[in-house]
Amino acid sequence: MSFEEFVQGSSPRLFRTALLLTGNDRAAAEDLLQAALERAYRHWARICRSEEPERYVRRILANASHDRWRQAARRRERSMHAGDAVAVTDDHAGAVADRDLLMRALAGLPKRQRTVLVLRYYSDLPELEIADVLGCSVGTVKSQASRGLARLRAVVERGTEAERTWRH
Amino acid sequence: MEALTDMTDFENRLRAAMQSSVAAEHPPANLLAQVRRRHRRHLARLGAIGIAVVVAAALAVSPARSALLRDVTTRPEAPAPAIMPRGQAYGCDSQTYGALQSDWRRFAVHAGPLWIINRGIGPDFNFHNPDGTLKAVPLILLLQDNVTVSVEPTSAGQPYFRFLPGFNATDEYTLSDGLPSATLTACSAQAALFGEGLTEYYLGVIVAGPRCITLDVQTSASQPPHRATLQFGRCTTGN
Repeated sequence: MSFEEFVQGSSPRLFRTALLLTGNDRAAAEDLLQAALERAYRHWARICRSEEPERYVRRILANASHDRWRQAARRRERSMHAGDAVAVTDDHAGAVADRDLLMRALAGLPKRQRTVLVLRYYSDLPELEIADVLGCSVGTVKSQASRGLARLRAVVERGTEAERTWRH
Repeated sequence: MEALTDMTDFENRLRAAMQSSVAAEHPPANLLAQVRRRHRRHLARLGAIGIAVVVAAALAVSPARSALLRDVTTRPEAPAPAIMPRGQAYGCDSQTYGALQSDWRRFAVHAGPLWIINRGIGPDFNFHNPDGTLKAVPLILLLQDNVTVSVEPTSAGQPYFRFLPGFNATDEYTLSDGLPSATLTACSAQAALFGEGLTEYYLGVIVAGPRCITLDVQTSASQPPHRATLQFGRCTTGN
């Protein structure tokens, strides 16, 4: 497979992953994806011979998102407040509001927790593979996922409570 | 059990939220062009820094000694060995492609069918990590024929230069991680990615520097080698 064919076929999935990894910061996601693909480009002759080149690039993506310089360039992580909850008017808007609240909460997580949750629930990677991608133990993956989910639940519950208060 | 069910439902909500939030997103249409542009900037940085090193070296040496920093194909000095060493093998599956500026030959050390662009280190580069291990120094090699490149130890038999099989994540190496020689394969015209009838390799070496090193570049066991001298940091010619 040529590099061009790979980019054409896999870049949509990889870009969406990059968006989630960067807390839905489009400019940062584009930059992250370009950087990851450029690194893969340097070694494409070897990468394309592996069974899953997309897996290889996803690894670069996940680890490149933790580069120190990229962290410094990102906007500050938003704190999560119940005030971020959006008033709802109907079921569809309610679903959108729920999604938006979850995504804002996800963007506010520490980078490692967010990365683990994105790889687990968006990329559907098993914990063992996430550990391999991030170069950590399965135990660390489990604990990061558990903490991340707990923080998300706390924000969502506070937001739901705020909604009930508003409605009544 | 209720808590477990709630957690599973929450995980499903999270998954659905992620999927729907980015479902309509697409990468920029010119992504491939952007990647190639970024790659060219990467190589330009390599070449620019290497140029500065080579130019500084050319200015620093006297005319009488400058020949040692240029191709000396007309004055091969070493006797032809009976057997060509193989060492670290770089084949076409590990070739790279990176566009270089059009006048890249001016800034490369040339030895027979091989050009070497010495990248990315200035005169004050620290070759050692705090723990004493060595850092990799990347080189760009372009060749139009198969070559074996080797370095001799010092007259006291001390090794000081090695070709690495690749780059690791920690940038910590010892001399035992590499080999003193390397064999590079020139890909066929159809398979070579660089163009101009050349094959490009982007590889790492470790140097117990700073020092100038002289490499023997051999295309055949029956022919005397070409020689190329590379400057790693502040050094005078000779090992």
